[in-house]
Amino acid sequence: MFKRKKMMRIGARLDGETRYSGREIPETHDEKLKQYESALLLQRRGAARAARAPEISDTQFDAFMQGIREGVAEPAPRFAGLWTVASVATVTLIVIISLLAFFTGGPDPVRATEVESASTELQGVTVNYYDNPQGVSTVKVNMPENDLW
Amino acid sequence: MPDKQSATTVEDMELVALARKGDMKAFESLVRRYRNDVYALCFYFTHSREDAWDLSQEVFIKAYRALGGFRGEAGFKTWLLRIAANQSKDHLKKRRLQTTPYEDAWRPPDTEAGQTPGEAAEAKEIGAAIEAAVSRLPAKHRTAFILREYEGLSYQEMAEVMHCSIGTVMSRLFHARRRLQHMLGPLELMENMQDV
Repeated sequence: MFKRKKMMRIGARLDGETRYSGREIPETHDEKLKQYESALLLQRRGAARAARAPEISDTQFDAFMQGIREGVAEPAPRFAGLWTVASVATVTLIVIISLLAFFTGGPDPVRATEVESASTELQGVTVNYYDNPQGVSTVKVNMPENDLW
Repeated sequence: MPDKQSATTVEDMELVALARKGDMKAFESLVRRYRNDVYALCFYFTHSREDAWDLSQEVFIKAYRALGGFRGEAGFKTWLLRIAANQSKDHLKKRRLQTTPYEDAWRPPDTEAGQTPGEAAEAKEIGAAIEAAVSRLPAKHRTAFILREYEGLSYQEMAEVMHCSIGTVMSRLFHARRRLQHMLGPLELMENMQDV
């Protein structure tokens, strides 16, 4: 992290942005920083060789400007209106689905069925069950008192 | 220098004000002034003269329609370049360009004074390798590198174009350079360049 900041300051210094390079970085014996600085200089030289963008010459300018004039004369695409319509349609759809889900009540609630049988293979453990008048089934497991569990 | 720059800014604002009122001549002056800045940026993204031409025209058309929203907080040039960068990135997304036609992009560099044809060819190779590596950078890092190394923008101008802080500019530039270093390192081109 510390080295990264130093590297950014080196970059700023090489870019001529002394305002952001901070204090002059003292002579360092850190090989990585030295390598970074020389790599930046090489990169810059390489980029200078790559950077050959063509230009729109004065003779081409009229044709260039003509295209712009034609574009300006055309009506601007109305994407804003399209987005509004799409948003309203989506909201309407969500409201309709919500209302349908609310009024149709959804699926029946899950109900517990009565216990038909209960058993265990654990030694000394007994299992009983009973249904109360409200239809709620209860399973009771009895363990011996001296059990280590 | 700052006087010249501020004079340009004042002049730009006057032209913008006239263009807003529908003065096409004023807008034409702005186009004439910044056409090559916009065209170059589009070209560095697309590596195609035709695409850069079309994109630049779209940038100016978009700018004309959005003149009402230009408040002059940033310079007109950086405002235009922001539109150009966004337009170029959208264009690349649409075309899903992974590779770029360098034959179209590359103009053989003139042989510099004291440079043999062999050295010129090597310099060309290095330039092409850097171009290829730059086009493989993530969009934000690529934008930072192009604006700094090719367009020669200051950190402040870059921050205006990329709509971020100076710290973010420095960070993106740092990452772009580190990535390029890693990409170009194995090619041993950078070492060769010392002699070119």
